[in-house]
Amino acid sequence: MSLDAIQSILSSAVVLGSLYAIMAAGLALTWTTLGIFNFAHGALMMIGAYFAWQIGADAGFGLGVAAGMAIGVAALVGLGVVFERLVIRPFLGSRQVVLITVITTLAAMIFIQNSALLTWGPRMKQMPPVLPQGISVMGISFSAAELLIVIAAPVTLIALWLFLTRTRLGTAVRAVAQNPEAAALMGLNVSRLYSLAFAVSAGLAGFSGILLGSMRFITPTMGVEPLIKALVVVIFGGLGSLGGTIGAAYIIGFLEATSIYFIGLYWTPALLFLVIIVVLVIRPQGLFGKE
Amino acid sequence: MSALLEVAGAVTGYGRTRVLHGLSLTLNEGRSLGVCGPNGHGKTTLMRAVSGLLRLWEGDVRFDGKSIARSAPQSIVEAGLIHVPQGNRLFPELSVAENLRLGAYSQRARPNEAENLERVFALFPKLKTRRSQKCRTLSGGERQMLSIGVGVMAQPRLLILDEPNLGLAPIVKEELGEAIQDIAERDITLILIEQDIEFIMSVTNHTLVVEQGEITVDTSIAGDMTHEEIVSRYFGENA
Ligand SMILES: Nc1ncnc2c1ncn2[C@@H]1O[C@H](COP(=O)(O)OP(=O)(O)OP(=O)(O)O)[C@@H](O)[C@H]1O
Ligand SMILES: [Mg+2]
Repeated sequence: MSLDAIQSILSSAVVLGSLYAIMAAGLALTWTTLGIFNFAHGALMMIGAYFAWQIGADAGFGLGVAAGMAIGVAALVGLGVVFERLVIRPFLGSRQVVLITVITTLAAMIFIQNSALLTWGPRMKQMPPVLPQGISVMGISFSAAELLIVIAAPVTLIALWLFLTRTRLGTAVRAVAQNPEAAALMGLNVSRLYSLAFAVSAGLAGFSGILLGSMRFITPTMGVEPLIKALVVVIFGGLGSLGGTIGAAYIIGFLEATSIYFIGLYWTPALLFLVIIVVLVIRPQGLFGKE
Repeated sequence: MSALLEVAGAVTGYGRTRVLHGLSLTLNEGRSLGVCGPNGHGKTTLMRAVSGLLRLWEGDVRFDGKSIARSAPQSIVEAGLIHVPQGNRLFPELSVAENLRLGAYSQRARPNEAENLERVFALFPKLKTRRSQKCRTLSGGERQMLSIGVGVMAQPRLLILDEPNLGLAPIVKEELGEAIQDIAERDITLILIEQDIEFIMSVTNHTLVVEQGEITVDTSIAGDMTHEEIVSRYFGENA
């Protein structure tokens, strides 16, 4: 194998892995802490990309890519709060909350997709490039969006991890769903913590959607495939652990890049699923999951 | 002496079933109150109504002179009324240290966190050695110690302990009992719900008996039964 090939595989592995890690971390945040699987996560990614395009692109408000990204992420944080209020909170007291939210988040996904279709139409949009030309790092060339993703992913994830494990507020986010009544009796504001978790999760969704949108095209259904990918990452990593999710994201990114290089784009998803099925047969608790 | 907690004509229940039928009590600052009574007669329900987990249908609860009957549990905690619930599972997937840290979540408790943590470890040295163990893996006795510890972390003015000894072996009971005694002797006002009348008598200043959602005996009222009479009347056959 040539050095070129290795470089090319590694660079796309790192880019894919980083993208999947941010995508899946947002999904895993609400799943591991609150036990709610948000099927609208991909749709939130998509909306983030459209917001950034609307604000940043010349065909939109033309404020530039940086403003588009910043306002797009901020808007998604706000949308996360509204989303939790409308889609999750009404069902929190219920015993069937996990099942009900499967349905309500699926409904929200369809609603958000159709809203995007009505607002922006079916034609693809393209985000203007972050920088006019790519950047070369150690002989490997990255587009500016790719470089941003490779740097932003670990920074974001470490920040998220520190927040969840080292701060009192983050510890409270992890605690609240484990025993809402005990949480209330310790003075935790249960509903505000749910809001916070969804705000952060939607912010991460928006961020990854914007990054994805600056590497590919923006369409109302662009979030569907990443949602499935994120779901796979979360399951592969072992349900319930954020660290496992992140490790799995990079492993799947690497597998995918290698497979695309050697056997092509067409068979890669099939191969990926095969590997995941084999892993789950051997380790049903996921790659990094505990018993 | 001013009343720290006043419950006046409390009526509440679950669904359409009334559990409390107009119950009233008064507790002065610095005193400790024992509550006993048969299973399922509303002791826990009363405390859930006091700490804001359950809304009153009628009546009022005042803490330090202010009505808290419509307050959220969070602001009741912030005022210093701390309820350690019966059979508390706490946060099973968090460590002992993390559970204790969340005990000091309220603004009120934060300035004294380090001091209170030391106090908890002095009361229950076992917790210190198990600091990084997940709560899920604690024994029943250790979990009960942690529950009380979490309550102490909250810097209580009034601490409500709902059957802290339930289902524990005598030797663990004794250890917990000493800790509770220690808490009661400090400046914390205490409500102790407990089936073991001997234990209540050793710790508290006076005792209420709750039956059918009403207070049937109050040892602080002259002419009513004393501790000893309660023992012989309600527990005499078994004692
Ligand atoms: N969540 C609930 N839903 C419906 N009924 C309840 C609920 N909790 C308690 N009850 C009922 O309310 C009544 C009073 O219960 P409560 O828990 O207050 O009793 P208790 O005096 O604390 O008993 P114990 O000594 O066994 O703890 C019981 O009849 C019980 O079945
Ligand atoms: Mg009870």
